[in-house]
Amino acid sequence: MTRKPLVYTVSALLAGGLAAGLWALAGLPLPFGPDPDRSRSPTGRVAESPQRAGDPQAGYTALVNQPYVSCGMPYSAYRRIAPETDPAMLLPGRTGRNAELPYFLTAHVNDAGVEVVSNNCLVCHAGRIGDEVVVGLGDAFADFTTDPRQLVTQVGRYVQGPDESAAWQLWADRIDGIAPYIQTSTIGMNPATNLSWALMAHRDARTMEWSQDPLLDPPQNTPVPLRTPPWWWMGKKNAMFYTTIGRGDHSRYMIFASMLCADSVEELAEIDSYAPDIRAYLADLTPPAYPYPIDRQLAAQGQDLFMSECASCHGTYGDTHSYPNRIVPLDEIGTDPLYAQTMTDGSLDRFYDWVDRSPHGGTVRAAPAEGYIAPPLDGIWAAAPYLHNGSVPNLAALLDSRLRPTFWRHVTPQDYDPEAMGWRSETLEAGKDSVPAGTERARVYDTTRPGYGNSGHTFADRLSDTQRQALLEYLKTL
Amino acid sequence: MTRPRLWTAAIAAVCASLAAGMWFLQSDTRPETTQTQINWMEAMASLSQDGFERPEQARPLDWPQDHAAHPSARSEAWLISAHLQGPEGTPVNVQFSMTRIGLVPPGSHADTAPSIWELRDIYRAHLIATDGTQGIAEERFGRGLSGQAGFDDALQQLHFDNWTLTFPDDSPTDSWQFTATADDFAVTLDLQPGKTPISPEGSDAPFRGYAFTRLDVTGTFDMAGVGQPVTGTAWFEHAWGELPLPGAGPVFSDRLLLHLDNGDDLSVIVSQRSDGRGAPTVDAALIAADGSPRPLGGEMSQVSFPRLWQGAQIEWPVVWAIKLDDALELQVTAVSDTQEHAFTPLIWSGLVHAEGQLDGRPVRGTGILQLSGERQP
Ligand code: HEC
Ligand code: HEC
Repeated sequence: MTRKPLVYTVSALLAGGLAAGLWALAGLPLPFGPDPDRSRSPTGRVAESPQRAGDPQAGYTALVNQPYVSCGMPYSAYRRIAPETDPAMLLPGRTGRNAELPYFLTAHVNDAGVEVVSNNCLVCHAGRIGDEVVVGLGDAFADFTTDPRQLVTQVGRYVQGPDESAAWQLWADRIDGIAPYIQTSTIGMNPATNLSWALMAHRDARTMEWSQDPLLDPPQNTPVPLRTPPWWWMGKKNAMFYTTIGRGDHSRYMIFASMLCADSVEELAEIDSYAPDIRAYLADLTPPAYPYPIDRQLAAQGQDLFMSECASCHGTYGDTHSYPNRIVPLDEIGTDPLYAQTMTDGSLDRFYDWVDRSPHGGTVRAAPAEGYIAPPLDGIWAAAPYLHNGSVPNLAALLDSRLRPTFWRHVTPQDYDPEAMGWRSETLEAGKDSVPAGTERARVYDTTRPGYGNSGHTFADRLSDTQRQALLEYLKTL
Repeated sequence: MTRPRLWTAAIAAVCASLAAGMWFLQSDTRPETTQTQINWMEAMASLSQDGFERPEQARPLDWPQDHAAHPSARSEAWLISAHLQGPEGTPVNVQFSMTRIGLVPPGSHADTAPSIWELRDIYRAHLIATDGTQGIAEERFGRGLSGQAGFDDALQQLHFDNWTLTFPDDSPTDSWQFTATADDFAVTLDLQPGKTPISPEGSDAPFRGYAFTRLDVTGTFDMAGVGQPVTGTAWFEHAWGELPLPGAGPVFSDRLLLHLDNGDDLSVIVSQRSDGRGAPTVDAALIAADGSPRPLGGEMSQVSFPRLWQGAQIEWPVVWAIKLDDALELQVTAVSDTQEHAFTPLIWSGLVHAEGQLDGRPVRGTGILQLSGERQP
């Protein structure tokens, strides 16, 4: 198992505009009260909301160089633990120290002159295909199953002197605050959403000031398991996240990853100055092409099926593409309901309210729907495992629910299975309970656990095997 | 792979903790009574990694060669702790540790260097022995010159004056000898390796090491003119490379080593922030009778300190309550509270007994706790 130093950052973060932030700072009442309708969205079509323009190229540069996550480990201590960088982990377009750091770390020098390395968005949002790091691919192998405080301690043993110690302590405080809420039980499952709630619980919404004791009731300890979606769908999506909770200015939501460390409204504003560029880069991103042969004739048959069976939800592809931005209610989609339910049962409303009170409140809004968005299927071949909780290991099983394994695990090292279309996996006889605690248990995907269910989305079950083959072939072309 | 990962492997826990035990290196409370002219603190202040090598992780370890000093590594530590009984069942503990700090990397010229560099290595040794009611504790500092302290390759012997740990020439099954004398004290131990050694292969740690977690011991123990035969078990560890220099940074670590009566050995390191914030982290591993390590605490680890004992300056946690996963629950109690030693700086290191449950069965154990001196009051 590979493992990255996880300075957890947030993505599923919700907030609103600086304008409203100024209201808040002035102590004026917000222009909206705690209106439950405001923090819910209906299922069905998601309306478009205007986005600030940005420069995609500047966005990439910012994404891989800017310290939007500003706390982390002292560089010198990091190098004790990792003296060399595997060349396969380097990314182009990185400047200064970043040019020699692995893709998921960004360096900057803090106010006390200590060089600090922090995780960036790519700790979750980059994955490997073959030998290549693909920016924007969710990391299906990221490991959030162990207590991050252990890494913090290990790094701490190599920290020296008061300035380095102070930098480390800041980072350690933040990890300490969020650690109880971000441990998943299965490798590949991402705790980002729960992490964002934990950060909000620890921050004053108006001043962004950190409080070591939570200011709001913290979220539940166990994160609902999530598969990290690829970024290249954002060009088509009108709202962010599986439940479309992220409404309004996307650039402000996504950059909320900095909430681990951004301790003032000023720091947030600084990050906000390049956030539209990052959004533009994401919206501009194209998926990697399917790297194996494609039977074009079979794919063409599959396209016809797709148009009749799938396009109403997932849109059309090619030169004249369309995408309906459609949220399907839970009872219709039938996939694991836990994520959408916890988002809409009222148990998290205090965080949606936090968003409204935050400096970005007003330009963004937290408003989940009780259902899941039918995502664009561009580059779907690479986005395994499938569904919002990653419960289905490959597309063959997604199109035929009878093939879905109850217990399974990825084969390591990571290897693509072009037949089934997904990261190669093996079916297991029994679930997590049958495996002793530790890495081996963490590798087991157990669909009988809450939130991990693999039911629903049975739209292709009634097709014939040959029809499903044709559909699969078509999906390779997207 | 050079991605830092958690050193989750059980064995990494073992050696990381030896490294964590290096805290004494950074003390600024050195008493005036040390036996050498070496300015320990000055040496510490001028420590540099330059010229020293990070140990090659891929090379398989090889004994007895790897018992010896590794001069290309900046720092190195050896520890042996024997948990013994006299004929009446008296609990007896003997601890011997040596630390080497390299000042000049091999291959550089001492004669062109400033005065401090005339020394190639400096050594520090601890001898602690107790029979439950009385004990001795002595600390020595020395230079690696003149055969006073170091590892003698010809004799296969780690030594500091008349404290010696001798390894057999080549046979992995021959027994080791430990002898030491001090004022009114003498000990001779015959140590027979029981389990295969463990080492953190492929770890990302900047040091290497290994542990023989259980050796069978017989010997004689002479304290204040009363000699007695002793038997029991011992634990040996050795690590070299860039061992962390605790005391310089924001984390300190306490260490528990236990031999359990079911044949398992337990290593626990509890690390805490020296600013007193945050929750302690726990690295723990059980080494089974067949030598296979089992990491513990992945799902849940709880360590609390039900009783503190007020020492000269520090309140030491002399009772530990440990819960690791659903597997292990132990209460660990100091055989005697007063196992504080006026070393550089003050430490608490001494014999403990443990009692509890492992995998649903009752279990008892004997071992040592090593508590460092940097904790906040
Ligand atoms: C700790 C892992 C993690 C980090 C770090 C992270 N994200 Fe995410 N991100 C996720 C997960 C998981 C989701 C899916 C959450 C959901 O849809 O409910 C997500 C969703 C998103 C989405 C929405 C995608 C979609 O299709 O709706 C965007 C955009 C995004 N992240 C951008 C970013 C940016 C930009 C950063 C860095 C500033 C970042 N993320 C950092 C885990 C992370
Ligand atoms: C009624 C609307 C609807 C129809 C019809 C539909 N889907 Fe979906 N599809 C969804 C929704 C909603 C999801 C997301 C469910 C989830 O993540 O829990 C989804 C998910 C998927 C995914 C996985 C995406 C991911 O994020 O992992 C694939 C692949 C997919 N659908 C393919 C198809 C194909 C092929 C068809 C036609 C046979 C089809 N769908 C028909 C609504 C639909």
